[in-house]
Amino acid sequence: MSDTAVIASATRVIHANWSDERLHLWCEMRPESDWFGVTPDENSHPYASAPDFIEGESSRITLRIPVHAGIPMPSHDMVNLGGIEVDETPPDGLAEVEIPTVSIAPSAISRVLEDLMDRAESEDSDDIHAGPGVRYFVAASRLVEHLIAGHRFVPMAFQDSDGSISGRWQPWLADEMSARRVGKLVRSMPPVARAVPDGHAHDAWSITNEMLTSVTDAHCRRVLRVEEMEDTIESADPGLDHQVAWLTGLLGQIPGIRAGTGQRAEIAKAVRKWISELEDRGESSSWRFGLRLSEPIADTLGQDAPDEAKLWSMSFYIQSLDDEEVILRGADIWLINRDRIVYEGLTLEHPQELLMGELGRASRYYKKLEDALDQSEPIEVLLETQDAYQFLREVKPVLEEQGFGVDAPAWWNSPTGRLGTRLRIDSDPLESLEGDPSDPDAAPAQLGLGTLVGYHWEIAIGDTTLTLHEFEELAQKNTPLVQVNGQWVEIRPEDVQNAIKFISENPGGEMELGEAMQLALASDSAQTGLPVTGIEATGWVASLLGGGDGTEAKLELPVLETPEKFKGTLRPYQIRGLSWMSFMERFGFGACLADDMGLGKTIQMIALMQHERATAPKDEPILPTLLVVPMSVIGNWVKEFERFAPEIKVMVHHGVDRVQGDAFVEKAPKIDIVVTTYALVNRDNDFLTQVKWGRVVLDEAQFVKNPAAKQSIAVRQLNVPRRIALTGTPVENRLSELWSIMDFLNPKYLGPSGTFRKKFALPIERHRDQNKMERLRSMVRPFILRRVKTDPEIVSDLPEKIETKDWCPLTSEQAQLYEGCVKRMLSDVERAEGIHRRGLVLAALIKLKQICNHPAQMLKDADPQHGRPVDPSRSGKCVRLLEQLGEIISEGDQALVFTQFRQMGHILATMLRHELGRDILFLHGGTPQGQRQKMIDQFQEATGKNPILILSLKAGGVGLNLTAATHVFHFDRWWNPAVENQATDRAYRIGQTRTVQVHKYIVRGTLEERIDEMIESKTELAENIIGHGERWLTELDTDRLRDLLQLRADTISDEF
Amino acid sequence: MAKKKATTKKAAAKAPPPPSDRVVKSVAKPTLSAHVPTAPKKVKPQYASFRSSRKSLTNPRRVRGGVKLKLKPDEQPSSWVTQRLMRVAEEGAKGEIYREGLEYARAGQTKRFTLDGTLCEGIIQGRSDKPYTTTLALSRFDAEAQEQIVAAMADQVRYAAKLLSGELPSNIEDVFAPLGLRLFPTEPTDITPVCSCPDWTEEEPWCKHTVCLTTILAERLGSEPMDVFGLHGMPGSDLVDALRQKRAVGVQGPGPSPVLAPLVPGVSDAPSAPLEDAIDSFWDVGASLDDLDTPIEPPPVSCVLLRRLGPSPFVGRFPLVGLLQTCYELIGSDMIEAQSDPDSLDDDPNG
Repeated sequence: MSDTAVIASATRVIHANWSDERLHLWCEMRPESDWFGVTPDENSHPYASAPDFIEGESSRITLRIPVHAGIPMPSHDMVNLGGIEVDETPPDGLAEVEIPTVSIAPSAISRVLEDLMDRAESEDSDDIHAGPGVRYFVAASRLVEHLIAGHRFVPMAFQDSDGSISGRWQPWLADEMSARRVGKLVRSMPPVARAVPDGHAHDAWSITNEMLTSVTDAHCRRVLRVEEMEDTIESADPGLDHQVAWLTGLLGQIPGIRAGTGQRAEIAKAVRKWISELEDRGESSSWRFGLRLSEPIADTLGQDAPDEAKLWSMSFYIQSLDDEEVILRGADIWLINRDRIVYEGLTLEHPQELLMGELGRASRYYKKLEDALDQSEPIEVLLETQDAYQFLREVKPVLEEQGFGVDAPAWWNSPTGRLGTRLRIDSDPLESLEGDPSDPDAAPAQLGLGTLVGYHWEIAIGDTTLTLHEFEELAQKNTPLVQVNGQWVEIRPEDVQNAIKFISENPGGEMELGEAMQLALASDSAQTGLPVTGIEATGWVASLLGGGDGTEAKLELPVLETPEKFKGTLRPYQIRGLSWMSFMERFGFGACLADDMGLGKTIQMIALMQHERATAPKDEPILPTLLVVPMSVIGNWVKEFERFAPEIKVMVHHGVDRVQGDAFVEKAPKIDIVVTTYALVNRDNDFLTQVKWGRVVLDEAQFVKNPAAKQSIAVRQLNVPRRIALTGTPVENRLSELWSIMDFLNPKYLGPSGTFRKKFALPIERHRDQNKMERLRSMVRPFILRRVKTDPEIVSDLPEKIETKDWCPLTSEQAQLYEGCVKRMLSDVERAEGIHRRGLVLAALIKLKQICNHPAQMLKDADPQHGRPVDPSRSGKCVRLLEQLGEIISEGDQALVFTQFRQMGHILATMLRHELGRDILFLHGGTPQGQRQKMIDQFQEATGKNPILILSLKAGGVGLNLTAATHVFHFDRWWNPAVENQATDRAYRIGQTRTVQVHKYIVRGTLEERIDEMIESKTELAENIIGHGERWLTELDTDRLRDLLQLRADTISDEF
Repeated sequence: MAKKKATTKKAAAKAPPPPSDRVVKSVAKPTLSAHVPTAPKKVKPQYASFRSSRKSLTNPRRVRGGVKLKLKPDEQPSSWVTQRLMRVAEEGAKGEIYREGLEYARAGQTKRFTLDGTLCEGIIQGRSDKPYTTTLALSRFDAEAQEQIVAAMADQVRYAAKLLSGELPSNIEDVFAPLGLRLFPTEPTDITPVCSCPDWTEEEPWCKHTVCLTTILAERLGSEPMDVFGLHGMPGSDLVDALRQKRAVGVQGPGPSPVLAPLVPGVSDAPSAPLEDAIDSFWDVGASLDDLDTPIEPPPVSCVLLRRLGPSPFVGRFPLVGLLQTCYELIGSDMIEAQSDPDSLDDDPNG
């Protein structure tokens, strides 16, 4: 165990380089001894090694990397994550360094890299990080997969310098979409990934192209290894037939083509000529030839032909590429009959020849155009409906790729132009479910995703529902393009067959709402056989789905009022949030309130509990709520309940002396809300599950993001009718988190996690599949309400500055140190007097504050400037800070963190760098002016690279303008609101357009809480405190000191 | 879309309305063949004159094994290059002389034909004992012109691709015109014919021997059009090398190279900054990686690239394209299945 622990604690950053047709992986790892102390060998990297946990061949490569004083410098990731503090000295230059690697053959690259990424991203990460090169080649490998799935590759022949040739599969990147994708890839290549000095001459495209080709070739060959083609090939002799020779080189494991010198040249030339057709993008570089297919014009003679006999016109045009709006019709070109047309400042030379030439070229891909070539002045070709369909389906994409313009009627390929199916759900109107207050038996029905709803499938074209009769009529027409209400639509024969099959297999009836929603919102046309175009609902289901755009714009819910007992005011959006949660609970749906940090999720939840009590029937017991929170926010909840709803009975289930077992089961029903932690839900599962809970609430629900973690499983096991999740992170973007939260809220709705991963998580996370993302969003939207501070509706409700106090717990280590320190000081002051006594008190006060910040600050057992990052779990404040900063960064916001102690600033900077893997700015009194300005600029640029700026309070007090921050943290307190406000105003000042949120950290049970209470009490004493620093404390007698400083019970965490 | 239509209407408004019987005109005008797209502009074929001529006009000494013009009397040259040179010769020589020269060429009076560097030389056997020595020369492109030509062609994907595959783009002359140059002779004065026969004079350089040699050259350039560059003092292989270099941005990986390095617009023509200049961002991944989407989807049209390629480039009955289609389908569907294979993934942690 201890061995693995040592390895697990070592941060490893994995890098990747392409060299010698293989991918080389190497890693940076901080050696046990400080690497700066080691004298590195000439030409070797002091902290690079081969990642031996990866399967591959051990190898070596040479890299040119930045050095300082002859020593290779660590990567940014290593500096940040590994807690290496380096000088700001820039590198001297590049030097060649030899590095041991594990090298991977092209055929294994995809698998090895994906395994590595999974490992790097997993929750129980053994501190392995994917460096920039790995991320780059992972993207390249995924691009290959995309290209292969889309048939975007070509067979090619390769020639070596000795003249030998071989068959190879190569990605085809020259078309517009692929060029754009590969352009994004190549432009993002980190220089380190092209640092191998070889024939590629550090060129990003050259390296990437070779890597893409090698991986493509390996993929293709793997599939073609077992071949049905062998029969055909075996009977032919590669020696005699060039085609066989080439094809043999494309299959199997040996790419080499055996051929004589002359034959080689012939094969190479033929392949080159053939493939170069693909580059043939037209005769003119500034004008494009195009074809326009127009619908048949209604016959004015009244003798309307049947659809299939109607004639479609395909006309020709020439379009300027400089100004795509300049289009010359073929008919006009013949009429104008000039050698040169100047139109809108653009010159078209020999328009008639261009038209003829391009028409000839297009006819190579579409034989029907040959008719036009026989005309002297071709203007159009007439097509029958069947041919028009074939043109649209099969020829159009080919011509477009070849650089021709193709204008299809607008309905083509639009969802309104194709046959689809829609799910219709009928449910009772909202009001009918409310129950009759006069009739005690007519309690509101409990509904939910398991409720059976009546449904049936409709055949539809766009928004138009077809009757069975209409559909049958369409199905009888033997043509894929037909008119429905005068509008042409595509009726694919396979769609008709599938529709008939689908409707007969799904006659409608009743099914569970969850199932219906899955069917309608997440179906693949691959499963149903035809596109599912959506869902239409009546009654309460419509209300559920209506709110489903993730905002509240469409919420059609009964709006509640602020509960009478609520001590305070709810803002309008908070009332809407309360109403929504109440509606969701009312109908048995689990709901996730995902408002931005600072919008008051806690008080909305408190109000929901009050509303529940105000509206419940008198004679029925209200079952208790179980609130599960991270340790760091227990204090907050308790304080908030005390402040806004003192009548609610709160019990904290936490700490060594917590009520357990049967005693707990007996006591819980008498309580309104039991607050416990994620760890205890798991540990005390056996008796927690015995209580009949009315509701379970998860706060900071992202804590269950790992679906397999014990605490995640434990919360899903709690059997309760009502479930609410609160989170401030944009859950929709983190898929395993989303699944885990949704599976808690509405079990089984998103399916088993394995299926979910395959169907949504992988395509979205690995390949950024937008269609899948959209489909998933539409499924989860009804259950998530997320308002952000920038929503116009919210902004108007918000003050410009929100101040909150964050109550943090002490860890047991902190508590022990704290108590020890208080005890020692009290016994010391007993025997001291005057200045000496005052000095003792002040020294102890400083120590106590340091303990509250982090034990390491007082014990000096960390050396943040050169040493390793401190363990954040030793400090309640640090844990909370990390949670909140994580949320802030994920929202793209920036934050200032103020501390009084420069040393604490160092500790925080190193710790945050390591934990968040980012550059952290730290500005203190000793920062030289030049660097100071640079940091401020970096922060104000708000590029997302430096979202956190730590300031020592003194350094931050002078005229700084830091409006790029929307969050201000006071990590420790100055006890002088004026000083704190001055600091806060760095962010909250002219130029600030957003709401600034101020977080003041207070450790519960300690002097921090006591002093805060005094300031809040606005007594005479408070007046003394404000503006006079801590001097007054030193005047207190020992008893009062004891009162003030002694640790209060029930505030220590035992879980860190 | 609507805007496009509007513009088209504007264009239409400028021109008189189309005649109502626009669809098909039954009167056949001399038309351009679609396969010779930008051949000499709308000029009537001039071969009618020799097509009808059957009787032998000349009576030279017979030559065994001489170089013969392959073009049959009733045939049109398949290459526009051949067509063009023959027309130039026809314009240069008087009708009778042209016909006689053509007869010589068909009869194989050319004892020897060499194309050496900038000079095309022929030994033509006439009526006298001794054969005549005949040469043809074209204008030279100087170094500056050559540079301009390479630059102009490298810019154009279609020129580069065709030339690299050893083919001459049909409208290649569009590159030369703006430079004030002519690649293929268009007028008789574009060729300098010299002959040792008594009929040849500097003022009237077109004798039957020069005509004969010109038609042989015409046919040769029809099949090997790249040779025309050599005649201008710019060997075709140099041009292709120069183009390759331009297009490959001077960087070629260490491994074997594809027989055709496709140009990827905006990527393969944008060389990376020197590594030394990238020290500040040495470890940084560019932001564009974040919006690179690579969805795994079957193509809208299967094997679209293969469809564009058309029939196999090789002769023979071996079903290459059909087999390649099978390859595409196997490879593509394997990828789609691999991405949605439930067995390859973890099971539900809930069991």
